[in-house]
Amino acid sequence: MQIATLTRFAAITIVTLTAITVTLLVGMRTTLQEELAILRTEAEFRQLGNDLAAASDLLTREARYYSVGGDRTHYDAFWREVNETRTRDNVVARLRELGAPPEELALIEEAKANSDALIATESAAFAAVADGDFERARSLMFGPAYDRDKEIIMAPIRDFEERMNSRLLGEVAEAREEVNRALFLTTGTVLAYVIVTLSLLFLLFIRRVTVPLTRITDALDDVAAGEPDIAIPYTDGKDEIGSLAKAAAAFKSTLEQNRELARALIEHRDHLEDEVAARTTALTDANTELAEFAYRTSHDLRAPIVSSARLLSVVEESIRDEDPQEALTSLGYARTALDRLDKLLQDILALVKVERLEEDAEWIRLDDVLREALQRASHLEGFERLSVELDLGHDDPLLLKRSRLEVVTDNLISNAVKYQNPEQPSPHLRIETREDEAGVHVIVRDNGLGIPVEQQDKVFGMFKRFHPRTSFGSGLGLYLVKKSAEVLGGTMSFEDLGDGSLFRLTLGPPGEAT
Amino acid sequence: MTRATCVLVVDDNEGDQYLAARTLRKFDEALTILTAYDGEEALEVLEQAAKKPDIILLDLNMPRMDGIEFLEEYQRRAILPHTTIVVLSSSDLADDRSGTTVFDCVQHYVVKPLLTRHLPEILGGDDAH
Repeated sequence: MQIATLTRFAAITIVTLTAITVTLLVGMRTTLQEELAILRTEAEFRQLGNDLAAASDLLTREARYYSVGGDRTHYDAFWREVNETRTRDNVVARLRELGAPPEELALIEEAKANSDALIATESAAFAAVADGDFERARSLMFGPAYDRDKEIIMAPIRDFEERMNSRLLGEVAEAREEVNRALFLTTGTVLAYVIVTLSLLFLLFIRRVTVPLTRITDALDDVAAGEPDIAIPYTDGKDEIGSLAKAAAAFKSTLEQNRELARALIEHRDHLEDEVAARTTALTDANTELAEFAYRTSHDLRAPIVSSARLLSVVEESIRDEDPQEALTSLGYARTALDRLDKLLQDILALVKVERLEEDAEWIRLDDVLREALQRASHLEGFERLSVELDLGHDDPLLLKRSRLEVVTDNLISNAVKYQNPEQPSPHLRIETREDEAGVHVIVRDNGLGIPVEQQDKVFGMFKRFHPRTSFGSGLGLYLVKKSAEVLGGTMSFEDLGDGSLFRLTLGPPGEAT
Repeated sequence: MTRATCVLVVDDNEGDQYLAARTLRKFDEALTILTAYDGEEALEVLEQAAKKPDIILLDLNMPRMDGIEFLEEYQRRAILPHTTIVVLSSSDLADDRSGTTVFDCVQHYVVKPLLTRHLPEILGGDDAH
C-alpha cells in the first residue's frame, strides 16, 4: 500500500474516531444530565409525597388544636390551608406536570375523595366548638372514627409514596445503568482511539518510513564508499519507500556502470599507450635496421670493389715484373671478391623481392616445394656427402606465396649443405613436415657446425656470419628466411641440437597461413 | 721507436689479407706476418703465437667478433700493452673513425687499400724505404 494512501487512511480513521469520541462524550454529558434530572424529579416526587402527608397532618393538627382550645388561630390556619394554600391541589397539579403515571394520580384522587368524610367530621367538630360543646368536638376529633377516616386518606397516600418510590428507584437505576454503559463505551472508544492512533503512527513512521529510510541510506553509503555487491533493500516495495529504493538502485547501477566505464576507459588508455609504445618500438627497430642495412650494404658493396681495384693494380705490376704466378693469384682473389659482390647483390635483390614483390598466393603442396628445393641444392658442392632423410607427413595443399616459401627452403637446405661439420663422419639432413594445433611445421635439422651459443640470439639478424672460414655468405641468408616467413604469415625458430641445428618454419594455426 | 718485426693482419677477406701481406713484405721482407679471420681468431693467435706482434692491422667489419668487439676485449684483457693497433677499414665514415679513437691502443686509422706510403709511420724506425 502506498504511504500516501496509508496516511490518508490513517487521517480518515483518526478523524472518524475523533468524531465518534466527541459524539460519545457529548452523549455522555447528556446521559449524565438526564440522570441528574431524574434524580431531581425523584427528590421532588418525594417532597410532594411528604408535602401531601404534611398537609394532611397539618389539617388534622390545627383541627384538633381548635377543637381542644377553641383558639380561632388554628381554625384560620385550617381554612387557610384548605382554601388558600391548597397543598393537595398544588401537589396534584405538580404531579401532572411532572408526568406522574395515572395510577399514582388515581391514588391521590382516591385520597382526595376519601378526605370528604374527614372534612365532614372536622366541620361537625368546628360546629360543636362554635356551640361551645368542646366535649363533642374532642370526641369527634380524637375518636376512633376520625382515626379510621384519617387512615383511609393516608393509606392511598402511603401507597402513592411507595409506588412512586419504587418507580423512581427503577428510573434512577436505569439512568445509572445508562450512564455506566455510556461511560464504558466512551472509555473503550477513547482507549481504542489512542491505541489506533499510536499504532498507525508507529506503522507509518517507524516501520514504514524510518527503518526503511535508514537501511536504504546505509546501503547507499556503502555503495558510495565503493563496496562491492551491495543490494539496495525495499526495491520490491509498492510504496514511496519502494520508489525511493528503486531510484537508489538505479543510481547505484548508474554509478557502477560509470565505474565500469571509467575502468574500461583507463584500460583502453593503457592499452593504447602500450600499443603506441609497441609501434614506436617496432618503428624504431625498423629504422635502426634500415640504417644498419644502408651502412652495411654501402660498406660491403664498396669493400670488394676497392679490393678488386687494388688487386688489378697488383696484377698489372706483376705482369710488368713478369711474375705471372703473382698475377694469377691476384686475379683469383679479385674473382673471389667479385663473386662475393655478385652473391651479395643477389641477396640484396632477393631481400628487395621478399619485401616488395607483388605475388599471388597459390595452392602448394609442401612436399613438392621441398623436393624441388633439394633438386636445386643437389648442384651445390658437398651435397653428395649428405644423407638426406624426408618425413613429409603433410600433404594437404596450402595457399601460399611460392617464391617466399622457396627463399626459406632453399636457404635452409643450402646452409645445411654449406656448413657441414668436417669432423662429422656421417653428415645428414632431415626434413620433416607435420601439422598440429600450433600450425603447419617445416622442420630442417642437420648435424652440421651449428650456431655458436653466444651468437644464437642474432641467428636471424642482418649481416650475421657465423662460419667465415667454411663458406662465404653475405650474412643475409637467415635474415631473408625470417623476412620471408613473416610475409608468409609464419614464424621462424632455431634450436641448438648440440651437434647441429634445427630450424623450424611454423605457418600459423591451420587455415590461417597465406 | 724500434722497427716492427711482427705484424698480425686481422681481416675476414682473403684478398685483403693477401694485399696487406704483400704490401708489408714489399716494404720489409723480414717481417713476420700472422693472419686471423676475425676478432676471436685474433685473440687466439695473440695467446698462442710464439712471437707476439708489434703491430696489429685490424679490419672493422668481420663476422663473429668484429673490430670494435675485439678492441673492447683486447683493452679489457690488457694483453699487449706495447703493441700498436692500426685500424684498416674500407669505411671512411666519420662514425667508424670516431668509434675507434676512443680506444687508447688504436694509433692509426687507415682507409683500405693499405699502401706502401702508409707504412713508415705505422711500422716506425728510421729505415724508411
